[in-house]
Amino acid sequence: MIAAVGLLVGVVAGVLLQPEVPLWLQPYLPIAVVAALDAVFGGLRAVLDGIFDDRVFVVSFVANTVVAALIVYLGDQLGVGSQLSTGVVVVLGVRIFSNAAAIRRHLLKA
Amino acid sequence: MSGGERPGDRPRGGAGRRPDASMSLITELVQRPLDPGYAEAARRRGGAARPAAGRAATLLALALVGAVLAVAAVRADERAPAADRGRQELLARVEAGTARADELAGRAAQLRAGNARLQERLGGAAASAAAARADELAVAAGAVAVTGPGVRVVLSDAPPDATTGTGERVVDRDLQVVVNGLWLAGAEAVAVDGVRLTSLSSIRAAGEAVLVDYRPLTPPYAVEAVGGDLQTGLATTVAGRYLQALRDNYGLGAEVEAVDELLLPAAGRLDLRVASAP
Repeated sequence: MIAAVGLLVGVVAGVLLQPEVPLWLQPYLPIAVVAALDAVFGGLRAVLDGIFDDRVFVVSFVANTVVAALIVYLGDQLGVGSQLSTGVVVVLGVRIFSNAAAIRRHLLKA
Repeated sequence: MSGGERPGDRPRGGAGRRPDASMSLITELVQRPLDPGYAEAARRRGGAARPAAGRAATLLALALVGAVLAVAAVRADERAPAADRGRQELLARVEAGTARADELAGRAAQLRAGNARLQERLGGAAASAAAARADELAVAAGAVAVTGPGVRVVLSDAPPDATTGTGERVVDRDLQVVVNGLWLAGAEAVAVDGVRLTSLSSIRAAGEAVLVDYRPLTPPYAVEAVGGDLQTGLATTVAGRYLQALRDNYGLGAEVEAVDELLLPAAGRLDLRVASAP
């Protein structure tokens, strides 16, 4: 409940304020989106498993985002930024997929 | 994490440990997608209630997630379809321009009819002689609609090539040759896709479009002509051989058929260039 409210507040704030994304931050936006989705699905699965923990959620979200951004930054400096971005997206995408599957099993028993 | 007997969940160390346990990246990824921290934290906490500060932090983090998603969505919406939006705008402008041209053409036709009515009211022998001469020339000038038997020549683009995906297209020159051939064969009136041709009409290309009197037309192009026995006439002219070459060499569609009853509209625009008082 409170989670949905937080998510909604964030979406509304983002749409209303439309913050200008600085140019140097723009390559990291897609990575941030995927990391955020990963954290949300992981958290949702933890809630359904009954083991949700605020500290773990916040720390894992921030840490995953930072690490993903770091990998992409490193790739940019090495000249393989797009490849590493793809790698990050694939890894997080697989996690999102498995978490979504677990959530589906929880909710639909299928 | 449920299902404790998965390979990734085996106890660390001991006999059950796989030799490649430290390298099983994909297995880890697929079998244990949930952060192991959750299970550990739950064990540590033991069933105690979640602290209020933690709830607030989660709320904040989720708000951040929502904001990131929203900003990304807004940006994607702004950026990606920019080219498409430009195209849509151009299409809308083309449609608006064509509609306005139609409207003006209708108004011009009305005014012309008014002019004709006013001319009839002019009296005098000179005026009636001029009117008779004008009536004689009206068909050739394209001032009046014409009905009668004739031919219809339909030119269509060749089917796209299987390998390149593009095919030969009908170009302005093809239409020019057909139209000139029809005049040569004795056509009294010629129209392309319903645009009546006069002695001053133009058939041009702009990019890949064919313009007749500055109106863009789309294939297939139907060239209609009213006149006696145009089909054999056309076949004996250069245009007949040209059509055959288009069919044989380029694969374009070029159908010639005789039609018993054709209706060609009056030309859209007639300019008065020279006038003198009697």
